Amino acid sequence: MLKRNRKLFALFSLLVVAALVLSACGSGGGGGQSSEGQQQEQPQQQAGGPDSPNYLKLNLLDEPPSLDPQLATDTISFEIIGATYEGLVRQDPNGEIKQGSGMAESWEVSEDGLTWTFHLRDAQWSDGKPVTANDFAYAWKRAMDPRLASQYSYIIAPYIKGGNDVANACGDDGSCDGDDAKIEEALSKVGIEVVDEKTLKVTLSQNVPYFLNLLTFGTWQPVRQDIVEQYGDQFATDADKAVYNGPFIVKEWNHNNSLRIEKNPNYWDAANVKLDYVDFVMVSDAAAYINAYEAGELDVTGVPAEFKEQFEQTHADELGRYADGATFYLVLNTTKKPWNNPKARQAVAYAIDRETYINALNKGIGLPAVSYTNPVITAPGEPGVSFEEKYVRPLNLFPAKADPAKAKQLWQEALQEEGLTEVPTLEFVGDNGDVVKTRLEFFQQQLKQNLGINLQIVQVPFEERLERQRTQKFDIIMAGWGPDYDHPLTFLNMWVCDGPYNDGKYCSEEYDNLVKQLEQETDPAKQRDLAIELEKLIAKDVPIVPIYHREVLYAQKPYVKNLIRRAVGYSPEFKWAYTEGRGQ
Amino acid sequence: MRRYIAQRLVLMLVSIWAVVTVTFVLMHAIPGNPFADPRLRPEILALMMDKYGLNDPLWEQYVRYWGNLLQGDLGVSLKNIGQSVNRMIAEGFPWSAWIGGQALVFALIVGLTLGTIAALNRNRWPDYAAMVIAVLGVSVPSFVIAVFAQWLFAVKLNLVPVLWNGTFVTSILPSLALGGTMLATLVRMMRTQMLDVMGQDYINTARAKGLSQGEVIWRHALRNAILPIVTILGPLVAGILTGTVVIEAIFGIPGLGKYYVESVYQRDYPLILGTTVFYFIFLIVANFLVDLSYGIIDPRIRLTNRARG
Repeated sequence: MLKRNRKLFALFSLLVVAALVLSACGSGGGGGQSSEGQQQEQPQQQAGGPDSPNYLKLNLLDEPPSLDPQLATDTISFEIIGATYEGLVRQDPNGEIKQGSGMAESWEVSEDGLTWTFHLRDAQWSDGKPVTANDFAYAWKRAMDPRLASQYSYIIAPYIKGGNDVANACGDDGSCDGDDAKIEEALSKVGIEVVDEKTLKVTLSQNVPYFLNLLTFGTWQPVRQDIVEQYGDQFATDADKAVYNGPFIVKEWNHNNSLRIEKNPNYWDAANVKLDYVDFVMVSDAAAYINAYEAGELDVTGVPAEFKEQFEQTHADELGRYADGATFYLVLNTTKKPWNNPKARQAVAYAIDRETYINALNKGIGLPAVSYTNPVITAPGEPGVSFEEKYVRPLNLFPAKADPAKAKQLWQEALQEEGLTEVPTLEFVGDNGDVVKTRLEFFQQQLKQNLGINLQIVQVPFEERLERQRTQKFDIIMAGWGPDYDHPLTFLNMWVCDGPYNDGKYCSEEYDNLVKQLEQETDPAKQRDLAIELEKLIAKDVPIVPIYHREVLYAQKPYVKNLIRRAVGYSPEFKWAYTEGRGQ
Repeated sequence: MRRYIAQRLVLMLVSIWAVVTVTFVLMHAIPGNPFADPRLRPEILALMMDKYGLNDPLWEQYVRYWGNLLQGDLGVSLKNIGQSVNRMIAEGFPWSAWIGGQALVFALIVGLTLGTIAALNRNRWPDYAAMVIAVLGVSVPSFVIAVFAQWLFAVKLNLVPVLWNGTFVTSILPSLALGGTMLATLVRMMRTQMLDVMGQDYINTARAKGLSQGEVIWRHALRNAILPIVTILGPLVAGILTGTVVIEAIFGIPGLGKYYVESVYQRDYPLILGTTVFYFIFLIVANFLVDLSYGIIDPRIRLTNRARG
């Protein structure tokens, strides 16, 4: 009896193992995955016109962490948010912001630049309800509300009158418990007024030269109060848990796998949207997405540097590159010797060969930073004109190639001024990893060769590097910055004394004054001149040592048209994109 | 037998407690926090930590975690904002299990067959061929197999799509790549076992009885050779789970593997705990079932059990 039981049990357990394996096969095939997105519709050719149906197959690289405009912080999420929401304004294909380009049909601004009155157009959300001034007021207040704890609240709160009072309403204890009354009171005083359903009046805390540009940033996109409240924490966590007012809607979101955006028939300018849908996969492995591009499963792909030569041989005409706006620089800890001395910092700026850096370490992808502000930034008041290219590059503020003689001379002067005969070994802090290591070694070698400085490389985990950077536990560190908005200030205001990211702790009254003047200036031409002054001051004081402006290499099938890549705002911009001649 | 099972169950519960506790302590011991970002300002970081209860004393968070875990609630991911860990596991695991199960079945069938053929044809060409496959499978990492298979079968020969899309066709390459390493282990092991068994006295006895070669192999040799293979099934399943991490990334499969690894880098505490606890339970249950299945295959183990209980 006992024996039989055991036999039965053993048999049963084997069956369970088998069932586990088999059921896994079965349930895997059925669950949640739609094959709709996979059908390869062969577009019909219309003579010379856009394909029909019109679609793109792209790679997001990874799951978007959040499609909630007020909570998203990363480029992947903002890529989808930019396609599915629309703020008060939208950049035109040339990057210019014109009246009537977005949800605002028109606007007026007061003489002092502080009061903006926006008149909304008749536009609808994807569920057919009208877009109202409250959708904006609600979204912006939501972003500032410390109870939401939005990382990007700082891209809204400081600009709006009373905004900082809201953001700081929870006090210094790091908790909002019991602060509800204070928050509500601060919110009621904030400079956002819904005049009527279609009129929004915004009072700024100060003149903001780039205010319209700021409005294209993801955090400023409108959301519908009733929908947010209906879903609570679950808002925007699935395709159908949000409504959209942009050119596209999120049609399908298979988490961690694929996402489809589809043309929004309720979009006010739907007539000018040519794409029917865009299918995104989420593949982070470079070899895999390159294979997918080769096999025609992707229309566009990023091309990592190690694939550059291969693509130049096989797909040269499909390769392109664009500047994503990020600028990389060395941060020198100015609270310690020798970097307290501006000449010592200048010496570093002349000792580093930027061209060699890009050619040797980045396979020639990138631009040597011969000035600080990234070339993608537009000159104030001159749409389509790069501030850096037209006004700063000709000044030759920093050399593209090293100038060892000048570097040595500056270095000697600095040592003399500081009463030093030699400098102890300095700590160069960077992230873990072999790629970072070769970069750090490049600088180590350059500074040794051209200045005789001994650098000790200290590689630590990302978290610790960040911590050291914030607390000045380094001598040199490499860091980067990407623009939040299209104005030189997004780079230039970094190095004011109390700048939250001013980790080298450079502090100069002259610099702070110039930034303040620039922030208060309403005349674009004068803004531009002040920005040039700041660039010159950076070349003299060297708060940081600019190294290079990043470029991104990509490949794109020849039938993809009008897909606009930007460093700020909605990017890539799908609104005017289409394909023509796919399958030919 | 019942007592044995009861004992194992108690042991499982204790080990789950231990795994949760150790994981909890370790993950909070790694420096950093889930929100590390060069742009994050300290005052907002404090608010975010507060929102998720991460400013509370660790023991309080620990007790709270158990309270939720006992109700089957694994919490909410800190990185994938608003996504519940329960749902991420429920949606991700079936895909991982599908690919993993297919890889396992593939490796078992092909591996055991090749191993047996190799042993029976020792030092002849089928043996060498099987060994070449085994050495390749062990020494070439699965991600290399995967990318190469993509390039060959999808890009060059255009037989299947590169990327996974939820259909069987696209599950073939990932299953082959994932099963490759395991297959190699199985071939070598099966070959050794068969050679060992074929030299035993009872095989000679069986032959002396006049049984045909097929009967000798099927009834006497295979049953004895396969037992050690069953023993390593548990570790093999574990190997598949860790293997899916890489394979999922390469084929874009929305499985659990990515969460398992990335949650650690991202300090996504609820996801680290959730996936660890889930995988752990899965593995100990699998091992338990494997242990129980010995009884069917080897009569000697049945005797041991009777002596015990």
